[in-house]
Amino acid sequence: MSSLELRGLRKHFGPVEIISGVELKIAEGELVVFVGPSGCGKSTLLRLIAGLETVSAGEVLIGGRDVTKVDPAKRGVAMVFQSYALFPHMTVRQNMGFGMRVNRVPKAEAAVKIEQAAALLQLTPLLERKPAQLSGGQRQRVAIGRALVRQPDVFLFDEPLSNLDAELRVQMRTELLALHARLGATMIYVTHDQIEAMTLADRIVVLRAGRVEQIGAPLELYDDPDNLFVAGFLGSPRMNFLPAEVQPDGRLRPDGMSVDLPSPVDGLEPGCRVVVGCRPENVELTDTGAIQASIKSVEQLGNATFVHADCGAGLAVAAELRQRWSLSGQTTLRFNLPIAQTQVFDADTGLRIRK
Amino acid sequence: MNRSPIKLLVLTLAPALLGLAVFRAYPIGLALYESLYTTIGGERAFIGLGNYLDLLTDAGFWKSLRVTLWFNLIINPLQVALALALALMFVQKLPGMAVFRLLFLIPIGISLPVAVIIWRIVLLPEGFLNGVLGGVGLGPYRFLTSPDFALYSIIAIATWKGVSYWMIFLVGGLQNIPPEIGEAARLEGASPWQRLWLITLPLLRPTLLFVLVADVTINFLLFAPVFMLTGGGPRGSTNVLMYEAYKSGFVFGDMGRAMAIVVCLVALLLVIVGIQFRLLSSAPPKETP
Repeated sequence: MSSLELRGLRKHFGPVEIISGVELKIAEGELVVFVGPSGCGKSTLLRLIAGLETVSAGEVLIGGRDVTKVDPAKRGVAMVFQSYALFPHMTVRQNMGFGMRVNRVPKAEAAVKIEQAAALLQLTPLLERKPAQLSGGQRQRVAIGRALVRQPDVFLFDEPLSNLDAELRVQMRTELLALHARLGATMIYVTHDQIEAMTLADRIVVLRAGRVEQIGAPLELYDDPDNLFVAGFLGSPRMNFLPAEVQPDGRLRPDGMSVDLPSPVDGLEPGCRVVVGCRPENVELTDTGAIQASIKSVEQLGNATFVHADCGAGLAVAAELRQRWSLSGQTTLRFNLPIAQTQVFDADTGLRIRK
Repeated sequence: MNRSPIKLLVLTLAPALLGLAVFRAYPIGLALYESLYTTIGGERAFIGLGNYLDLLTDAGFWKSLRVTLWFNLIINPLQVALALALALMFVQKLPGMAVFRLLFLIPIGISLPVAVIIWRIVLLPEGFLNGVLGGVGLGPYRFLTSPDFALYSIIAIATWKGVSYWMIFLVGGLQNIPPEIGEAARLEGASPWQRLWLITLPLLRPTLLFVLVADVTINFLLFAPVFMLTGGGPRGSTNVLMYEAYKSGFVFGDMGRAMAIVVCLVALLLVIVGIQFRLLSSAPPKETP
């Protein structure tokens, strides 16, 4: 295992810049998740690290060695693809041993490594099967096994669970975490699924349009986002955003409402435009709430209830309740946004105001 | 309305089955039937397997068979190998590939007779190729009138015309291989040759099988270039079985012998195609439910 560093990494396809100067340091044994919406460049970034795409500018360092121009096979990385990329005409054993075969590793040594990886991933009974004879989860394990036998410095995972059903995804997530704990390997994991990111990562790198929006531990990003994008991307339902104006007394008046909310930050300039953010689980439903909204829908999940409401002027608010809650003929509700759990963002730049 | 699936099957398959019956089964049946007859003094006479027995001792037939087999032994591997090489180049993302693609697709758009006429002009003793070779002190060569060159000239022309066509199928096959599979092999340390031999060719096998079978079929039944350029000559060096059958039936009027040759040719072709299928096709592994 090795550390990894990206210095001013850029990638453009023709005039279009896909990755715009990414700076990142990943420590040995860390599991870092790249997360972001489709097209944000997270897979491209992974491919630049793997060497499957050429770098337009910047450097990739693995274990302190500059590998920017090094052949993918010699970078010490192994990659698990979204589609598994197993060789369909080969058995599981042949798939796992392919790298050793082409690199002329002695057969006995290769066989031992394959057996060890197969045992670790519970693939031993499947070694003579071909990929078409395996389930999605088994195929994914073979792809991981193929990466494992190479004993790479860095493991790269490109949305490896997105082809699996929900139940299997949860199971594979647990297995991946156990594998990471056992190997202590440096891993980079790409996903668009924020739950995967939150549950797997030591640190999350949130990407948008080829730029790093924020890097940090999952709960750090969730609780203390740097900007509107990160705040809105992590969490489901996403954080409630209410555009507002700072009043002369420093309180915040959401658009279309006649109530002022206390501001969690001091020193805001009266008249400036901000966005008030509050996570659904922090919305406090109470009969004496300052804000009134009409109920649009109620989602009962069993362990939680999501209430979606409209505050007027097109402002939608979601509230998450831990207890069961039914409408029973109710069409409106009242709520408060607790000052300690609200965040304020600059409406123009989208950046968090932390004064 | 409740329709019987049998009726629906018959209705949907009928056009294809009708075409198969009229354009495939009927000519084969007719050839088989006619091969049992001969023409004596303008009268058709049934002679059973007489035409086939005559072929066994017919030196012209055996020589033509040797020419056909030699022709196919060279042209089929050559065409498939070239088509594969071009297809592999075709799918590369390199500068200038658009021009390359256009150049190699031109032969598909030119009809065979036109191509043959152009090549005839190129290959004449006073033609373009001899002009170029003369410039470096070689030739002139009798590409179409020398027994040493004529068959190879036909092979060159048929290859020029056919390679791009087969390339298209192979390009389709190559593009059907998910790029991540090649990338995974690359990450594992496989060299370009290892990727070709261990990954690309095995995954291209179904397409290669189709191309090989179709190419062999077309080349065994090749007729137009021989008819237009050499007339089977010089000294029978290009006299493939299809041309021998044509001469027998339409020049010498022995339709029975012509049909017997065609039947033998088709039987030979079936055996070869059967062997190809046996060697190249493999049952896919049973999918998990």
